[in-house]
Amino acid sequence: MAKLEIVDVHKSFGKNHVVKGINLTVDDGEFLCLLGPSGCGKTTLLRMIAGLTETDEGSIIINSKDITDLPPDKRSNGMVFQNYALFPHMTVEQNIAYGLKRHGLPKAEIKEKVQAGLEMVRLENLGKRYPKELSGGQQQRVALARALVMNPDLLLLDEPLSNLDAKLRKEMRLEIRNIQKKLNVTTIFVTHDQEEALTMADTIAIMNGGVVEQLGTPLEMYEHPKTQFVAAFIGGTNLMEGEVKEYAENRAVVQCGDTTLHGISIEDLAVGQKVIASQRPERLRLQMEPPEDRNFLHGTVTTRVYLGASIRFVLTMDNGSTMIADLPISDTSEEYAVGTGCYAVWEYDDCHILEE
Amino acid sequence: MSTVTPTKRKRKKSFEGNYIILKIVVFLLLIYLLLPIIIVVISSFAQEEYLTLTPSAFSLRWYENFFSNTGLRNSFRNSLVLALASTFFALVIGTLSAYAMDKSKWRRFFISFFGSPLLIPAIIIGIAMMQMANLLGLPRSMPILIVAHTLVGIPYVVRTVTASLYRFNAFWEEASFTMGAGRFKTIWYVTLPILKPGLIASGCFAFITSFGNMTISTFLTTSRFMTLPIQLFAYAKNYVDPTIAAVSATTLLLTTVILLVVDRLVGIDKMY
Amino acid sequence: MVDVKKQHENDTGIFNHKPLKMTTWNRIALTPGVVYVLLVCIIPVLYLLRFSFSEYKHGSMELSGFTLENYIDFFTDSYYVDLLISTLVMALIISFITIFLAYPIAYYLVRVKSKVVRVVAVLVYLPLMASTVVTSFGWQSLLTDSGFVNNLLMAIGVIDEPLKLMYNRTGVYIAMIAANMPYMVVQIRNSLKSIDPFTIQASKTMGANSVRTFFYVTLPLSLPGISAGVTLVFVSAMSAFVTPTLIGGGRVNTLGSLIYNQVTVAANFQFASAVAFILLVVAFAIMYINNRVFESKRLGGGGR
Repeated sequence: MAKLEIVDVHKSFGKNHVVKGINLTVDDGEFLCLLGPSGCGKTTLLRMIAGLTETDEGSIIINSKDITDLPPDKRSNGMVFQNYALFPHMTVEQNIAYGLKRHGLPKAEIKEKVQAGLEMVRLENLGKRYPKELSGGQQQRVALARALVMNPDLLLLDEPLSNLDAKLRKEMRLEIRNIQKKLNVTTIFVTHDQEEALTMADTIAIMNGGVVEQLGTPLEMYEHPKTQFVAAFIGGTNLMEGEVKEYAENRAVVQCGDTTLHGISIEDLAVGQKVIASQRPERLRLQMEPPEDRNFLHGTVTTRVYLGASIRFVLTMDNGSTMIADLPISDTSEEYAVGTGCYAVWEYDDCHILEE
Repeated sequence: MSTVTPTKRKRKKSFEGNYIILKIVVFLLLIYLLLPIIIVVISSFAQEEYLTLTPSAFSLRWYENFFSNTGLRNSFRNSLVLALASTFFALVIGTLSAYAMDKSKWRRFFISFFGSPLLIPAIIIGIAMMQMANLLGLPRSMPILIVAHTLVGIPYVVRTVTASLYRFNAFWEEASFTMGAGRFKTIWYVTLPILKPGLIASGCFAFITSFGNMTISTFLTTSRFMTLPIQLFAYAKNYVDPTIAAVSATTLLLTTVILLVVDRLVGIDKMY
Repeated sequence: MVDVKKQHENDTGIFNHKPLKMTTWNRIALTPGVVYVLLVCIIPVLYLLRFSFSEYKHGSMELSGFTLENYIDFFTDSYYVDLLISTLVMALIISFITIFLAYPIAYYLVRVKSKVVRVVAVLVYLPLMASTVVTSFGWQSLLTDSGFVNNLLMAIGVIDEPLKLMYNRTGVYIAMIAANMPYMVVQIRNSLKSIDPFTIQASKTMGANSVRTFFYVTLPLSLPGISAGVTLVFVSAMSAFVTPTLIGGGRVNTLGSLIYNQVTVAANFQFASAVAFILLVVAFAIMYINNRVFESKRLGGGGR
């Protein structure tokens, strides 16, 4: 159980500045997801927390104790690696007992804890097997148990689900989440999969180019992306460039070419500032008549794709840009055939004005 | 070793038949290869006082001769001590080197560097070592032999351990760190156990190479201090005596057992 | 998804990142090996080179003066030049024959699948493990006038009188080819093993029969193994002295047996050093030529 503080942490590999001044606080029992594309520095940050990569600058503090210069074996972290890194020469039980043995716990206690660990991940009957005799999902669970029997301050997970197939991945998300909540262990989870992050995390830190672009709950990330990168990375999005014209009724009025859009912004924007207007495809509606008190833009349907519960419409707007609208299947869906001219419409509050 | 699946095997058979001619050729070639060894082994158990493939009676007299001959016994013991010691040092030095260079950016250079003792003809290493020993005032005896044989063992160890490390997952060690084991505990409990088959195999190989080495030992022994192959060479130049067949059969038994161990562990063909 | 692992590696900088304090440990761990090979192999060989320019003094290993005399002696005496040439010829013939005899065994070990193959593999490598003294000793008695080989040949009616096999080149060839074959088998086997079985099946589906497939696909792809094998066998044959001494009975000489005799009999260490160095140069030249020849063939054949 621990509170983690990361203060202005930097890391370079040669000329490659990978982590550029990251500040984060993770509360006791919190599940933080480091989300970002490859090369964004998320794994490097995780490795620095684990002590596997030395920190160039800044501090890593656990429960008010600076551990920046401690080697990994002197820290109290449980880590699950992408390929699990189970020891091939040890049975499942021996793998789980490894850390306990190195800490010199009495034999009876080790046995007890290993048993509890196996039960936690529902592998009671496989203790005598070797890792190569287990399926990917089972190996994953052993790795989790191995990390957790130590009762670590932090549970660190480095893309642990990326080697599993889609179905298993969804099951393991729930399982990891449940175990984490039950033990209330502070957890940092690295992934490049936004769906994983949105469904598992208490807090998401979106990283790009070695910095945290935005920190917040999954809902905040989705509903109020702060930057263009976040908007584009979390879910699909329609983006339009424009310029702030004025403020009206606490909303920014943005001129995008011939169109005027009203939208909300978390940042303070100056009049005349270049901005990006972002709107989610599933918040768009189509109609034949222009609406009042909403944002709208005229265009022509060019493609329709059935997505099961919804239909994706790709529209070419009159100003030449492309917009995507995801609409639930309804009686009116058929009206918007390919070649139909119509209005794409969205609420003022569904339009996010971001700094460029 | 072999990764061909049963389905593939079936397909091949239908394509290429049963290789009858090939099998006959291989059988004849095997006889050619093994004939000298077969005659030595048979003669060692024979009554005859010369080497023969068709002995008239079974006898252990040549083995009795071997074990009662102090010269042979001593040289056998010398070779055993020498092979054990040089294998030990080759394992220690070779493993350390292979492990350290695995993470180096000069890895390729070091692989050739540690392979060089095998690239230079053994006779040259032998004569060069002899001059070195003389220069440093060292007697031609056990210590200098151990030094030389260790050199020949190192390439085998480096090669095998490097190959094992190639399949070694770097995260194994890191996982051990995060579970509270320091560098040395990690090496002891994780790295070495995982490398064990390769270590045993290359150790066996270094042992056999040292035990049978003739070329280098020739230049580093004296008439008073001999290893077994030197002793045998000296004998064989003058006599054809089945006592030597008994000695040879004994060493052959030793090497065959070791060879089977190596084959079980890693496959012999990985050693050259 | 496909590249996740690769991306991950780039992301973590695994390739340019070393685990904690590993560099320091690296240097410490690498030192004994590097120092050892330098002190026990490289420096002695360099000293050998220097010593080969030392002035002759019977039975002395003291370094004295600088002279080209040892090399001049070697290259101006037709006996030694002939010996060099005959050694090269002998090594060449042995390598060549060994290729043909080793190939079927290697092919068998790779292509035939049965429990026997594993046994054959161990048996093939057995002579390699046995000291050359032991095998030469065996050949000595097999090759005499009344030995097994002559008896066999006479029994099946190939010859009427025993062939002279001992104390001449024939016997040395027979014994040395057998002694070197395992080396060649290992190398060819390794290269045959690395051929993708689908390449061969592909050739057959395109209408090439087994013989054509062998000559146009299998053989070219196994050339690297042959090349490596030839290097090993050639160098080993040139420096051999045990077999030529025991089977050749002093009548068949090689550079190896010359060095051996110069040290043990003549006690002319300076000349022995010069011959040793010539042997080393020839060995390296062979390796170089061999690499070049097979390299160009491989490119020409479009093997890879």
